[in-house]
Amino acid sequence: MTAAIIDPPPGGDLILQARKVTKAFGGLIAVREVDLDIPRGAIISLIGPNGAGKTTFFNVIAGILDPTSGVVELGGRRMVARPVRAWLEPVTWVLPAVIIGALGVLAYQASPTAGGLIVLLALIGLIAMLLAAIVRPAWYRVLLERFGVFKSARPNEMVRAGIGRTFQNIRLFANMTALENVQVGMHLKMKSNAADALLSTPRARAEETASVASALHYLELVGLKGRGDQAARNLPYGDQRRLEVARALASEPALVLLDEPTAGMNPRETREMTELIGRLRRDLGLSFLLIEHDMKVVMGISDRVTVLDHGECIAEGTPDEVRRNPRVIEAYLGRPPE
Amino acid sequence: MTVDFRRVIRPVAIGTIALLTEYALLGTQQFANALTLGAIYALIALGYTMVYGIVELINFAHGDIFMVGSFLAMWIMTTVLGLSGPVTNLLNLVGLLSIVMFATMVGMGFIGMFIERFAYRPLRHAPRLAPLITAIGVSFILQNIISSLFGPSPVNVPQIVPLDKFAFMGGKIGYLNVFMVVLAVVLMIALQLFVGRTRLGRAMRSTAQDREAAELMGVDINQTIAITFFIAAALAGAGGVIQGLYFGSIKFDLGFFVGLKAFTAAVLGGIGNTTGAAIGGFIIAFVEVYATVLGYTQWSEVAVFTVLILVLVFRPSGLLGQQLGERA
Repeated sequence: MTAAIIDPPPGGDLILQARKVTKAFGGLIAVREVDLDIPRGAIISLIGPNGAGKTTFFNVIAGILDPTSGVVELGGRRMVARPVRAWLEPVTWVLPAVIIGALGVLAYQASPTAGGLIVLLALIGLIAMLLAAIVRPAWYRVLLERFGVFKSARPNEMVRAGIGRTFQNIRLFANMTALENVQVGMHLKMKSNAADALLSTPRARAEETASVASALHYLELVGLKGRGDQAARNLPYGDQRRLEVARALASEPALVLLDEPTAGMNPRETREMTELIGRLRRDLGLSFLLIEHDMKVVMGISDRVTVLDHGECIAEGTPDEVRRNPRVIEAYLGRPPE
Repeated sequence: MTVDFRRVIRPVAIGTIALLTEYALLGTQQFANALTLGAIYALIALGYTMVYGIVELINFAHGDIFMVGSFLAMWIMTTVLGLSGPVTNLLNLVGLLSIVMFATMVGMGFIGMFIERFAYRPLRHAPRLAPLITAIGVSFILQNIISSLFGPSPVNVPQIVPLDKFAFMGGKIGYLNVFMVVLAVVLMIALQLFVGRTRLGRAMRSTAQDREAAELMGVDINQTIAITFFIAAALAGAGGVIQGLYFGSIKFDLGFFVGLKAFTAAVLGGIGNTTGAAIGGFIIAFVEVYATVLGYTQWSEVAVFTVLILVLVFRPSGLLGQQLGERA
């Protein structure tokens, strides 16, 4: 049903590989066993009617949602739901019991009743934890997540791994200037820590200066030269969209996720955005995954198109193949009368 | 990064005129008192406003963090440094004060981070009410720890700064007042620079505006929030040092009253806005001192909250607060 393995381009390799990704919310299966491959330097589009599960799938790839089953690999690294600092696991629940037990023994010397009670309490705590782990593994997992023992890859780790993204509804930091917005995108690339900031070390200052220069460069790249000092909320709509792209680029990603990059744009802005995406791929060698409704944009710049409907992948191929695929036409226009 | 001078001149002018008017009305002595009190309120209010700005939590334990700070400073001065009276050698005094200040601020910073890690972080995705109640619980825990360690009665703080005063424009100002106000202002400027001009400051502001988007841009939310709590608690610790040195005695329930006023200051200035919190702190202090000067000491708190209500009636989001609807 979902054989969607792309032959890697000659000499190229896959940036992102999603295998049999399923995401269920309670009983509702939003995405069912979808595969997706993004080769380096490719522009891949994800289309489908409203409610097809595009955004859910997108969020799984962006690291906001954990898939119910399936794997997302980024550059060969599996990115979801992994234990970290696993050695901490026994410590987190044995240690408190040991400490409480020791306190109980100490208290025992002063008052046998109180000491005995405390030791008993420690034992009960241990047993309760053990029961939770056996009877309700989900609770136990949540508990461990709270302790920081077992956790999903957090979104900021996805950024470190090389994913940048924009949002369907613009989510700039409205009260900060355009320049500062881009600088936030560079957060992970900068090294200065709290001590540097407090002492204003030469290293921190040099890095700050460099980040301003680099942010100006990204602004120029997306065509926002000279707009750096304006607050993001004061920029025109089309410029805000482009600022989001600049902010995503600032983390130097290998893959950029664009969630409806031309939504709400007029034809001229749409054309400019399309050109921008093409230029970024050509000049910077970036890969893109787009969710897009504007078929002109999708057919114009995509290398491959994946079509989702009711959470399933119903077609995959080049824009021309997809355009002629009867299942796609059916999903969009409905079944023709017999 | 360039400073727009036209935008700076107006608030500076207004501030200068306001301060000169206050000075003319109150006279040297009371003016100095009000400024010192304002410095304490402002330092604590900054903590309320920063924490609210970033996690939308009214940290009711913050006043008690300030109280713990004053006890920590007292403990460092008496037990660790063995001080009991005024230190007359200026060089020694500066050195000792720096040590006390630094140790208290760092110590309190870590306590603030610790509280965030174990009391608030596990509840970050819980309904808004849960961390609020937890904050009240933390407040009781801190009060009870201190009262069981140091006793429920007021504790004296060694007055290591000599109570000398110098004549100034017909009145007398204590060196202590000058030191405190200067310290508070320096800390506030440092905070503004940190938040406005550094990588971590940007991370804090972006997290405050849109936590999820900031995370998706690579900002480590946990680290950023921890740093915010560190700074908030460190500033409260500085306020605690000043409190002990200025009033000479501290008590385990001190945090409640001072914390309430500082919280009022934060709301008055527009919660979430650091400049507003600082201004609010000074306004509240001046209102209190006015009430005292006019002979209505018992009514000072009524006056403070009347001002708060009046401000909120006409500017519901506080003096410098953003209009609601900013965060969707």
